[in-house]
Amino acid sequence: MKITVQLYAMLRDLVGSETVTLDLPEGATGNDLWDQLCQQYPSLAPYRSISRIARNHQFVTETEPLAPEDEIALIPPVSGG
Amino acid sequence: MIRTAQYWIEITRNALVLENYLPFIQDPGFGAFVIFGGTVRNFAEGKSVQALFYECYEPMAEKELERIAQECFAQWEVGRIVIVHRIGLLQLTEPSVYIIAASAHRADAFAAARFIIESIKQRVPIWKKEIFADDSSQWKHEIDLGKQ
Repeated sequence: MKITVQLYAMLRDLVGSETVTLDLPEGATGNDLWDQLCQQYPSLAPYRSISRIARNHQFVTETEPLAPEDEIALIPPVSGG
Repeated sequence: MIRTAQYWIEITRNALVLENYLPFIQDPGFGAFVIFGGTVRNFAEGKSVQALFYECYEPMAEKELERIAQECFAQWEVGRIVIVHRIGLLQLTEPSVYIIAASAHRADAFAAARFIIESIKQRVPIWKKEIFADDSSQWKHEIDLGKQ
């Protein structure tokens, strides 16, 4: 299944694109998404342990299965306020 | 913008004007309101800052702010809440955020305002980039790959 991931802040700058589309097996989880993303973009790896995954505008754990219709974004450490 | 009778949540590229929000939090049943404002400071981690750039994952940020407001209503006797955050390029001294909590008694308003700003700093998808005096810039929490 194709999953399009939105990237923000330093993650977007590192990849050089606002979105990345990944081809993942059915039932793939956030962990699978990170595995493939870090393989394609090794510069993201240091952010894996400090970033969170958002699915349809809510934080989810990395073990949650993802679906192609989900809106997925990676949320690096936030700094609003 | 998400606006109900109880809360007003807004993310905007325009300069924040505090007075615009005050009529919303007026109510004869309230005895107190607390305002928290965040402003652009001229230093960060020992470096001189000349401006801040804020970026946002807007649809999620608004929903997360709404969830935070709803948690306040569940936790305290608070009557009305305003959360407005500016994004884009902000100059020194400009306000980046206003939080207003109004309630019958001051303790609830103080507690809610504090909870809201601390929650923003933990879980609302807004990011700031510091633009330093020498024109270099860096995202807050950016990992310095040279130091790894």
